[in-house]
Amino acid sequence: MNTEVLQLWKESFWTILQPGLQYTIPLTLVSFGLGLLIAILSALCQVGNVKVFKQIFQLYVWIFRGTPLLVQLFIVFYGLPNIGIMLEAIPSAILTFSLNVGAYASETIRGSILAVDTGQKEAAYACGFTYAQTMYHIVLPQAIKNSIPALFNTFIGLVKDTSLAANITVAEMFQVTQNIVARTYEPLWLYIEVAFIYLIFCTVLTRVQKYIEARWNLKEGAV
Amino acid sequence: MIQLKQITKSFGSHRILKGIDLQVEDGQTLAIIGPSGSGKSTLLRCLNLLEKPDGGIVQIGAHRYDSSHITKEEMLEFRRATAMVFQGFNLFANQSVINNIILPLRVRKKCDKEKGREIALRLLKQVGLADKADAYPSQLSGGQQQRVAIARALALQPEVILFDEPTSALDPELVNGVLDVIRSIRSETMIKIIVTHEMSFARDAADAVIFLEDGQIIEQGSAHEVFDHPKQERTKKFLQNFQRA
Repeated sequence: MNTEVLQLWKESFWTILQPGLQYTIPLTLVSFGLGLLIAILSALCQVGNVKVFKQIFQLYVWIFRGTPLLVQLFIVFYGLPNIGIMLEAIPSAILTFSLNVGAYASETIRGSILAVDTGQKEAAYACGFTYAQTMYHIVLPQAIKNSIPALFNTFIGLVKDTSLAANITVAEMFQVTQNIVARTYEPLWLYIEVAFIYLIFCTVLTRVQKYIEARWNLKEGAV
Repeated sequence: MIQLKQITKSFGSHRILKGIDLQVEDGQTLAIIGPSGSGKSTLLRCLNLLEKPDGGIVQIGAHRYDSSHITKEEMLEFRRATAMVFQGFNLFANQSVINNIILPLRVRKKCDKEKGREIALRLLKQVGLADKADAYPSQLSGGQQQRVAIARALALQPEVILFDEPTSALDPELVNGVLDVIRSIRSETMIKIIVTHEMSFARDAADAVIFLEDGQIIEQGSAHEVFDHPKQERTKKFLQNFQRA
């Protein structure tokens, strides 16, 4: 490795990191937050056997888990204008990422809800809780806690998947890196650099996950 | 007063309860004994509708339901006249000990935080666990968890407390502590119904005893009658197993 490479990294580092802070991170956080809401709603409707909604969410999960994310992005950004729905690149990305993450997280949360000991539910019923109160106070908090590892898997996956937004003109890290490569013809070192930045982001998230798990276990004891 | 008329329950083609008639007066303690699979727990769970009977009428105080047609509201109202202590404790794992008691009070009795805390602390003291108020269930022994569960049930001031084999999941050395707490419950009106395999406890703590087998009440009477002068051969045989042990 020579000084030229170091110089290249030094010069490009902020140029790549900046869209990371400006697009990758907000895109990830917003999409994951929305995805989580969709997921909780979808899981509750499925577990609670809510008529019509259950079928709608099952259809939704089936479609979004069964088709490539890149294709979904293309349909939303390049395809929908054909039927008069025009979305800017960023809203398209957020919409697609949220729905995609929601489909995966929905199954995670649904599984965790079903895995909560039935005794917990029975105790709540025996105490006179309604179904909604039982879910809200007892079952859902335990289900979410148990799904933390799997949800972080999805979360970390999403950080990296935001690079696909480069294909629909979002100027996130990967897009910016590609631009620099086009100028400098240094694909190897620049793509390694951007990979490294993704790695840092994901490392931070892994730490956050460990922290949350440790805090939770400290408080309630590992169950 | 509790009154059951012709309670029946089947799981698939398996008939668990074959027409149970029963009456318990206010303030009484009823012990339900019998071999495993006789329907004891199912009968108890029919009383707070964790199992819905296929047929029959249940009355607890002013609350009454006919199992052939019961609405969600009736079900809720009915459950709120009862409280249950489970074999597996079933404390809320995501709530601290004190919140296990406060939360149901707030949800069901709309009682404020301060009042709930006061009631919870008084009851925790009564079951000897005031110092564990801020611990989580997983940090307690089985015996301690069961005592908290009893405190949680008492806090609701139900018309009836249902105990479903409250000591069966405990280490032998922890059993007496829990039984002592159950014995110590003093109430003029509250009915206690206990499904148990602790015969000596049933003998000295219960006012009335029923012996259940194969979904039917084989024998019933005062504790003295059933334990000391059982009329049915089957009851005698069942009790002998315990005397030998």
